[in-house]
Amino acid sequence: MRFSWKKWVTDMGNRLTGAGMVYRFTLQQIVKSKSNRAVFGILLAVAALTIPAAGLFLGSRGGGEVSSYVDVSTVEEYLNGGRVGFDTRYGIQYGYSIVAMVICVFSVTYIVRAIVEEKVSRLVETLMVSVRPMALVLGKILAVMTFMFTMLLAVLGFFGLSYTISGRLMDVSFVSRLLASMGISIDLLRLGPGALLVALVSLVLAYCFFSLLAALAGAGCSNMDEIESANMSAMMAILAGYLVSCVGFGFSGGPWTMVMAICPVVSAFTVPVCYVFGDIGMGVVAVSWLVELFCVLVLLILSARVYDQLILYRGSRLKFRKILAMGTGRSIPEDRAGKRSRKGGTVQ
Amino acid sequence: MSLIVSHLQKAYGEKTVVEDLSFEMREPGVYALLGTNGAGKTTSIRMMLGMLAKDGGEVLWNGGPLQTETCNVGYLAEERGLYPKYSLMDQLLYFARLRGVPQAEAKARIRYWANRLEAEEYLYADAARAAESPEGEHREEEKEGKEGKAGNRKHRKKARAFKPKLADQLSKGNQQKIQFMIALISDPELLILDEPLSGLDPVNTDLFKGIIRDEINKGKYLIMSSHQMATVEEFCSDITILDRSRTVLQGNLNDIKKSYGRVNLHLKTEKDAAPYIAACGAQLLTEKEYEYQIRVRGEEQANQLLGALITAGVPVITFDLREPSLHEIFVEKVGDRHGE
Repeated sequence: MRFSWKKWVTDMGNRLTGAGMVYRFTLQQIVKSKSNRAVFGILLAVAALTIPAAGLFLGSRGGGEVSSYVDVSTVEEYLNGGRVGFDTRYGIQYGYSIVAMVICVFSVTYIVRAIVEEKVSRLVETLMVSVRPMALVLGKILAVMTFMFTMLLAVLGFFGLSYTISGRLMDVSFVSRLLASMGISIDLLRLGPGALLVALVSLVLAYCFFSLLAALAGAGCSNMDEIESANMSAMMAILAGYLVSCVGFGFSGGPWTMVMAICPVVSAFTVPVCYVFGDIGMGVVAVSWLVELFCVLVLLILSARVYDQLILYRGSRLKFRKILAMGTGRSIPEDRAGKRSRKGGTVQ
Repeated sequence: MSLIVSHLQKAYGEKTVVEDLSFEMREPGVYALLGTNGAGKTTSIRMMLGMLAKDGGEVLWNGGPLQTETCNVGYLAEERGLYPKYSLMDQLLYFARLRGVPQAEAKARIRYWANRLEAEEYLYADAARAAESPEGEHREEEKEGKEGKAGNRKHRKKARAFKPKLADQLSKGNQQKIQFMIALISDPELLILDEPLSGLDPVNTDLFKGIIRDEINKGKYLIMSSHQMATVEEFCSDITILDRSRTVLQGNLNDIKKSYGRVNLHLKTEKDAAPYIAACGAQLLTEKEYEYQIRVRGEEQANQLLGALITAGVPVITFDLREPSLHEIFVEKVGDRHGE
């Protein structure tokens, strides 16, 4: 049977009815959670107090001598301002990759837990009268995304606000001296709203990609003990992206940069950094986003096929390979029944 | 309105779990889906609600396919659950909103059902305080009246201190009340209850039964799956008995019973009546202190036995000739096959 986009869009529309309500409820519960509020508060406090505290303790000593670390190998490069040194590039890449990884890991863990909890609490059957499995999962993914990204933006906002207010009350030049001592010069980086947008969009796409992977893995679980192993599938993908971005950075330049910028699992960790350093232009960034978006859509189609069958599944955890096979239609229900009966699982 | 289920089929590989299930509800009332464990009741319900893909057949509501988006359905699943760590009120409001009930209306309905199901103390601060100490509450109110503003402040402070109950703080029966409220919150036209009374104590069973009775009186369509045959007999007009995915008996409960005839005799005497039972050729099923359960061929044989007892001067305390109970019909239909 031929794939029809029109039919798919209509089907998706039906599948996503109620996602808004799930989103609102999940977000409400995330915000109501005391531990989440505590983490949010601590991060905001850290963001707000870091600069004033550093200003009080370091004062004018902060950053020491300014020693801009700039690689230049030609006169032209020297005249053009040179390029950022390897250590600096590596430091920024490493730092950004850690932030991206932490966001993805926290989100993935939360999503898998939320999905498995709903299945284990036997609530899912009651929910399915009003909402389709796909909407159930997507509502959760978007709610967690809202919380995580609000937290990220709030932390950045508090940091910026703190810097501005502190600048009026005390000497904060130690910040630029500190950056300069690390070889980071604003002039050499494409920092600004554009870079923030690139980083945010890349992070959102990466988040969607890893979250859908996590949700797929979570759908195959039937008890809380299986959360860890379900997490593992998505975690492995995140770690792979993180490691390749950090290690692969040493070989950056030319085709390898392109590969790292376009390859879906890795691109989330590399695209914003490559863009900030001027290694890639907006065109490559757009191609990278399109590839990532395509992968997210493919995962969404796979998920739509798999959730309906797995959401009521009770039994041993299905391997991720098997779940993907179900999504691509290679493991048809006829095969599944036999395999599951041997494993003791049933789709009732 | 009508519900028509026709030729519903479901198989997992070689194993058929629902085979050609068909039934109709042309009028409001209760339809019972009965069967042994694993007979296919829950699978049939899930297919009817569109949770499981059908391998064949269709489910029509008012002539069109039954869709939970267009038909107001309330469902009490057999596998019941609640979010263990979220407040009960939040959960109820969430389910109400998912079923399209406006917030204000949902709150009013929650208050109503909480009152009917005696679950207010788990949802409302005032009810919780009253439940904790009814006398103390009364005194407190009197005191507040005297103390004026200071008393009101204290009252408000206490109300704020009320921590809503979480699902995992409730007993199983009380959780079931909340789940029943979820099923009823949208004022459904079609209510599907999968084992609604399992695990309830007699007091709560009566509460649930009262509500089910009210829903029937309101002209709702109910589908009930249960292993409690007495409950089914109490509410249901039509039944389907499933056994190993197949329909083994179907129809109006009264008609089914009539077709068996009045063959069950409950006899209680003051003297031993066993010889007379044997003499008239009736089948003695159980005997306990001159109380007998007897299977007779019909009214003629029963009258013959009664005549013999009177002639012999055996005092008869109870002579109750009746149709077989649903339990007996169920055991006969399903038990035989399991014995094979």
